[in-house]
Amino acid sequence: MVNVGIAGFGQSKLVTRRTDVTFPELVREGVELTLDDAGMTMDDVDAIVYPLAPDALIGVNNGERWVVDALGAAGKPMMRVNNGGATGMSAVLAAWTHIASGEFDVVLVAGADRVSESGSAQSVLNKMWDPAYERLVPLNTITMLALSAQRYMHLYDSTERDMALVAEKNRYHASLNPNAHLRKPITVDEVLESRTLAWPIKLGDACPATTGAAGLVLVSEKYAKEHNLQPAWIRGIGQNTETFWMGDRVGPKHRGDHADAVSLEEAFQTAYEMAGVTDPKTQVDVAEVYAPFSSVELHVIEAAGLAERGGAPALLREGKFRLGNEGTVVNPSGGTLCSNPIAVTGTIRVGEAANQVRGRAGAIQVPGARVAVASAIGGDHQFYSTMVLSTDLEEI
Amino acid sequence: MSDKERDEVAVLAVATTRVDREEHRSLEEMIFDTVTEVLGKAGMSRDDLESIVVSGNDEIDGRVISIMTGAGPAAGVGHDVTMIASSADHALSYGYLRILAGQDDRVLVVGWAKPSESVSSTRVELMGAEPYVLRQVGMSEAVAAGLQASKLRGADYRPEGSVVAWPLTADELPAEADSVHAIIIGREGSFDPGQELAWIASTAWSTSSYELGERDLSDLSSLDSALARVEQRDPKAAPGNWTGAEIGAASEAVVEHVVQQLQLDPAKTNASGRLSQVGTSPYVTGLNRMVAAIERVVESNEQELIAGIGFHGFASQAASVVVFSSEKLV
Repeated sequence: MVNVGIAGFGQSKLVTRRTDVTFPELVREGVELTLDDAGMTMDDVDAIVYPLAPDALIGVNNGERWVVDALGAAGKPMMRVNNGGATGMSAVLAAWTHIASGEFDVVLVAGADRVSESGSAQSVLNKMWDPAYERLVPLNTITMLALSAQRYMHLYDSTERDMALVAEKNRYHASLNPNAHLRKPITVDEVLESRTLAWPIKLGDACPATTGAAGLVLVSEKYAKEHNLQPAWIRGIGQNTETFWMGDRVGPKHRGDHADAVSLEEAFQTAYEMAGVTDPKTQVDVAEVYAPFSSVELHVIEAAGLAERGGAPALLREGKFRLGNEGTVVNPSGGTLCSNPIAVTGTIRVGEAANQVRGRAGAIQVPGARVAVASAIGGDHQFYSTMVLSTDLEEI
Repeated sequence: MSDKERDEVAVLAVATTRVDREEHRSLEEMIFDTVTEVLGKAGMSRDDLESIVVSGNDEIDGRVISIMTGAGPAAGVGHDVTMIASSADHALSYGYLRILAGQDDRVLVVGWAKPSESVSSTRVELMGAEPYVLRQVGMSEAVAAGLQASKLRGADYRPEGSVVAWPLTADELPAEADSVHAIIIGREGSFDPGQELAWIASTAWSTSSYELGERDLSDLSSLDSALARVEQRDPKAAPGNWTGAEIGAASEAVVEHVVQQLQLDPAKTNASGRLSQVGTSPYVTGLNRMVAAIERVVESNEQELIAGIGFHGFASQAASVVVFSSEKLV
């Protein structure tokens, strides 16, 4: 198999709203930051994979066609991926496939999102459920995951304070990250006192609606050697799919309980087997995982094998997963909880993980980080993407 | 491009559901029925698949994230599923890449569009126009096709019959239908010899500028760059060797132009029917023609090398080519 590495990562400042640029101009910003980081121009790029989740969030159908010129993609092979919230990472996996196939050496993944332009993102996202039953509940991404959080609390005797610990940790990390959207630290008590969105999820537990751009350049091992690049190496990948129906997430016929992220756990196992990771608790230095709400990070930590099922809260209470403390650091960038430009959120997870193993993460660098994992989630906790990265191609 | 030796990939089964206007089944039921049929034809169960590549359009489907409702009926639960959302024909190319990458031995590709569920296809197409200029103009597939046809045919051309978008008449524009296409492809060695319907000889895709004013609309540069890649990968799969072609385009003017430019035999181009005879949606028109190309390879007793071509975007902004052969190209 052809080895594939990440040779460049760019991201704009992640903010609530940008009125100084059109959508294509925002995409262009991400492209330029990414190519600059890789030390490349568009002429070096063989193909483009464009991440864009719901068209409805930017208000243009097949929005990838609109941004061809901004991407610099005219005359090149380009395709778009849309796996819901996982899109930004599924696109990176598709770019990996492009190179691993032997057909391309340099593939650009770059895009943007401006969730604030949609007026009400949650109203748009409510329309992703079937019109006859679950849409009317009414489900949106907050109420959907509030149900999961309630179930987690019920099964594992966890509390709202455990969720607040996640939020406090990630907001502290984001305060050190110059690109993060929510950079103001928050205390556990402030999270608990913030207004309830859908119990037990409160404002302090929730991600913002973010505008921003990001991108990655992936290269083949051959190209990296020829150009003396030292990329972050992609060692393992995985994807998996859960049922669409929320009502089938509990009960005797469920694939996995709605409290847990069983399909994500399987996707992590696929990536771990490919990478040769046998004990993530000791082998993984950094995890950049997709968790738009604090409650989600609890079961994602467990799905990644960094804690037993139901065991994440106890470890958080001990101070685990925090920058500066012993063991795997989870979301040193602040994660999705602090910045969520949906189409490229997964791209940023991979980029931050790549920066960590390349020793380029600045104030949020985990000392000596060699192995990192990244993950993303899309749909109604339905589509899962995972990746293992490392500094080198030696055995993990 | 690496020095990696390329695996041979074949089409193992194809199923199509095409209905002018499906009144009795939901899109999800159509997907389920078509996928069930293709698995049956291949003698497989969903457990035999390693991954699934799907393709649908959120706005045509009226589902904010189309993959959410489509993945389950496409056998996706518990599987690696990716939605390629730029065009259904890209999904086939991506499935092919997955096999070349060594990720999978067998991939199910499913592309769909059910325009009858939307209030107005033209309205959906208008939403594909950027909001500053083209949307104000009232751009649609037919209007863009008319602009392109005007350029291709010249100012002196006078149409015969009732014009829909100057200079195109109704029988020069694609008919609309609800359709789902499912294709199973596999790596040589993962199936019994003789099970293959056709071999994938080559695939390539490319795009051109979105800005209509930036382009010479008589110049199909997206197709040109895709074909350059076909030639570069393997000259034996290039147009000069094709025994036929199936072309999904926004108008017969584009089909005529491609026939002329590539010096194709008109009698062996779109033998499955004119654009107005084979109902589809712009989103799946390319995959629709690729399935037709496979079927022609299967039905022929001759050695065939038949290309499926799909255009998408206003005035043929992007193009895909997949070349199918009855024998492996050696």
